[in-house]
Amino acid sequence: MNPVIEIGITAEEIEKRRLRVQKAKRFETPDRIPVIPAIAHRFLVPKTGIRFKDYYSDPETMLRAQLLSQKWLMENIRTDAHSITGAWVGAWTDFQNTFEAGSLGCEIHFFDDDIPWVGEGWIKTDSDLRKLEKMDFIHSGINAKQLLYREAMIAVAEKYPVRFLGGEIFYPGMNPNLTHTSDGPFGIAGDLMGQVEAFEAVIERPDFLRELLHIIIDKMIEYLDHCWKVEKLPVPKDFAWTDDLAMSLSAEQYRDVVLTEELRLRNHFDGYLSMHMCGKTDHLLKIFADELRINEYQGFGYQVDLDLVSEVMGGRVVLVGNVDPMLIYSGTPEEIRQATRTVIEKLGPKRGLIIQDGSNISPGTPLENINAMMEAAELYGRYE
Amino acid sequence: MDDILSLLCTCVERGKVNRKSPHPADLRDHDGADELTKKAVEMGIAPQTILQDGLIRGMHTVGERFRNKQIFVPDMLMSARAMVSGMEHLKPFYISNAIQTKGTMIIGTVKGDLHDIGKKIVAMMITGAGWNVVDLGTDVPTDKFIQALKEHPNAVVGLSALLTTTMLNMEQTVAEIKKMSSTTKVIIGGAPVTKEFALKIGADAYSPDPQGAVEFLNALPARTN
Repeated sequence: MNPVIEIGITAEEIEKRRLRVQKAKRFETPDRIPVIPAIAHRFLVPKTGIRFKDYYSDPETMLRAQLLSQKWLMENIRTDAHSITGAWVGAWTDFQNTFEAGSLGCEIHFFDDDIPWVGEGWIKTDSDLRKLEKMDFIHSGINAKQLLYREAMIAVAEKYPVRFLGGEIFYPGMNPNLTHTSDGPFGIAGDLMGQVEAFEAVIERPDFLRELLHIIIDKMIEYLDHCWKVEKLPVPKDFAWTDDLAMSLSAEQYRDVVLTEELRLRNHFDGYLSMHMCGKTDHLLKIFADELRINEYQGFGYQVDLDLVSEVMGGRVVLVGNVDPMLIYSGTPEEIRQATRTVIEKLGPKRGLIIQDGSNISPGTPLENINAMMEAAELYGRYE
Repeated sequence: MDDILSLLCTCVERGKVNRKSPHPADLRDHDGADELTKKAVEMGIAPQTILQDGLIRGMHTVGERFRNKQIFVPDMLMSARAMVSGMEHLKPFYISNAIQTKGTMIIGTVKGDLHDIGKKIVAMMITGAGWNVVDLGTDVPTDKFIQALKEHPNAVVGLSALLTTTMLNMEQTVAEIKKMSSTTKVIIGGAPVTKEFALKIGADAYSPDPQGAVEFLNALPARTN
């Protein structure tokens, strides 16, 4: 019998959190506004004592690190995170934002103590586009590795039983997700062409760029269909993407070059779409809400105008954000409570609010600062 | 003279690089910043005047529009390219000292961060404002900044980071720079960076946009390279 990874949160509490978040996502009235700080790899993996080098080179180590880091998170961070099998916290073949470019001809650099990076872009000409079209996105590069890692995680899943206090034992490794949270078509185009080249193409070669985005979306649809239909993963129907790079386009440029292709992806699945974009995205909010019809705006930047996002999205798009992560890193707990209170007061009344940073907590952030968001929700975010 | 400098300024503002460039559509088959700068030099206009009243004036407007969200990164990059194409014709005058740079700025994206574009735009804007820029690239370790500072002891240093997870590396770099030379001015920027963070880590300034970096530099006392 393998030792059980016991997570020091009761199963009853986990269920309460699940219902709280579910109500928020349905625009119902939970007991209080949920809080889910965004704490990712650079913060979490080092907490396990496992180096990134080992994390990325062995699927069993990756699985073990994920479970141990989530145990740490659940026991140290005040959060309404309630699942250890979801994509945000869970077992998955974790190749971050490299899986698209890394399966479409870009070299991926792995490091001893850091997450992987995408190397130089290679698409310059029409003949490069033809090469790209012919590539097997599902079975090459990082995606081929993902399939192997998934099999390997399933093979060792029974070695890693997990239990919440008073709950049933379960095995997160038995159905790990594949990385499928996309970087978004423009972000991928930036990887494949080079970011400067992609931005210049918006003006100088828009037809070339549109064709590249079209091919990228074809590949994404093919891949997500594979995840959904062949690997039997439930998530791709309700999926997420980010497109941070597109934040630097005007609304007209975004609509002209990116939106048509994002709509193809969105309409192909027509599920619950969670979108993330860092930075000041005020100029794109209406497009996201009215044309792309996103269901959730996750981890939106602290720079976004709260009155505007409330006006454009409040009551119809789930808002997950947007306390300044730099304040969380360097402010006092009281400053963070007050910043959280402002978000609650501006966005809470229309329901559909989950408090998060906007976006991504820095390694080294004091725990009492992170937990101040929950304290604020308890003080100012109760609906009852 | 004013006509050609106004045209040059317009080319920079609108990102018209050269005659071959199809952008912007209404200036197709017109001379761009490349040809106009060359002509201005041939007309005998003082290089400093071409720089100041043509290229710098154009980039100043571009910086203001970018700050006010009237233009975005693609437009900014085209303007920067137009400016660089004009600057090529002025290079010999820097060597002969007919044009004096305002000083040197060492710039780079800090260790652990590969994001280039914001830093590149800032570098172009600063070049366009009459500064010599030493661009160290991305993922720059502290010792590389220190080495560059040894080579350019009066330089200002600019640090960029795009991620909340990498901006923390700025702190160590600022500390090392200040340890080596307490009078060296350090300015930081990038999406997650704030004025409060700059204060906390001992940087001298923070700018949310490229134009702010130019304004900070231009407010400094004159310095040699």
